[in-house]
Formats: sequence, C-alpha cells, structure tokens
Amino acid sequence: MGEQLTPEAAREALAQADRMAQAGHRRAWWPRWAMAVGSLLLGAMIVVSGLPETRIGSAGAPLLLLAFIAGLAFRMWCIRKYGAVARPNAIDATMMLVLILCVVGAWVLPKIYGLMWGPWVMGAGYAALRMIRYEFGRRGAPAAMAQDGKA
Amino acid sequence: MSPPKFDPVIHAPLRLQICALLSPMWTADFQMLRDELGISDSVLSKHIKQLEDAGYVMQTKAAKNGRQRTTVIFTGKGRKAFQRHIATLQALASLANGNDKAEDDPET
Repeated sequence: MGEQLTPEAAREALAQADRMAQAGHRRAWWPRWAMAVGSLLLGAMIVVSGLPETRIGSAGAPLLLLAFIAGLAFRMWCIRKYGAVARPNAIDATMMLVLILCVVGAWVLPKIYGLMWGPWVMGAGYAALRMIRYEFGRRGAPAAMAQDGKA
Repeated sequence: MSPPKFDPVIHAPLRLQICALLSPMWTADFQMLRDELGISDSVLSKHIKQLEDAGYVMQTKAAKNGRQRTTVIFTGKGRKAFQRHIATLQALASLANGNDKAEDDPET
C-alpha cells in the first residue's frame, strides 16, 4: 500500500463502516411479525409437549410434529426471504436454556404436581420472553465505531 | 477490546464495508450483500474471494431449482481482524481529534 492513511481518511472509513454495520443489524433482525410467528409456534410446541393424554388424546404427537415442521419451514423461509441471520450471543444461549427449562416445566407441572395450567403458562411465558428479548435485541444497535471520528 | 492492528486485506473500502455489514450477522446471503452494497456480482465475488483467501469469510454454495445460492459466513479470525482494524482506525481518528482540540485551545 503506497498511500499514507490520514486521520481524516480513518474517520471517513469508520463512518462508512458504522453505516454498514447499522444496515447489517437492520437486515439481521427480522420483522416483528416473523419473530411473533416463530415465538407462537415454539410456545405451542411447549404447550402440546406438556399436556397430558387425558387432555389432548392421541393428537399430541402429530400436533407436536406438525408444529415442529411448521417452525422449521418458517425459519427456512425467513432465512431465504431476509437473507441474513443475526449473530447469536450469550443471551441467545441463555434463551436456549430457558427453552429447555420450560419444556421440562411443562412436562413436570401437570404430570407430577397436577397443575394443568402448567404447560399453558410455560408456553405463553416462553413466547412472551422471546418477544421481549427480540425487542431489546433489535433496538440495541451495534456500538458506534466512528464515535471518535464524530466527536 | 482487540489490540489495534492495521489489516491491508480489510482496509480496501469495499472489503471494509463487507466486513462491517457482516459483523452483526451470523450468516448472510450473497444477493443480500450485493443489494445492500449496490455493486455487481463479479465485484462482490472478487472481494469475497480475497477475504476468503485470508480466512476471514467462508462461503457455502447450495443448488436449488437450478439456481445456486451462496451463503457467506464471517469467521472468528475475520471478526478479530476486523475489530483490530477498527481499533487502529479509531486510534488514528482520535489522534486527529487531539490535534483539533490543541489547535482550538492554544494554551493547552
């Protein structure tokens, strides 16, 4: 590289990188409706997986499979349509842990403690939590790279 | 924060933009990158290839319905190099700010 990098050029490069990072953030976070559909499908899966057979009969397994396939197909469709997936972080890892806990809770509450509302609360709770996480994640734009340059 | 390190591979304006665009993403579609950057397929391919040769991005290609779909992934090595490069630019820009302040306030 023959030319020398000046502070002004560095500022410009930072501002440009900042704009692109913001654009990437907007692309990676899918619209609210898409996240709501995904959250509802996951919530429905938690409810169906926890409901005892006395409540749901033999429809439990096919319903669970249907919700799983619908969720997977919807995610694939979103990836194709929006062209990007947000980078997972520690909060997403925690959300996976919460999902597992909700599935276990939805199974344990009615079968061991006789609390029939358990699966419903777990399913709705997880769906709501996922939407809250989405709202915070979407609003939290990437840290401004060009802050020194803009000062 | 990564220690500053100037990276000539990332420094080219388009490659810096590609890296910045990829930074909040896990995976990105080639077409989306092209549309967002407003450049042609061939230009984007050339720059992605250079980033790939440096180990900064990975490409996966899948054929579906006779069309090829390319997905670009920013690697850990690429992320670190990008952060270091940004830190270098920030250090340089803050140097300029320091000079500006000194000029504004000659007593300091």
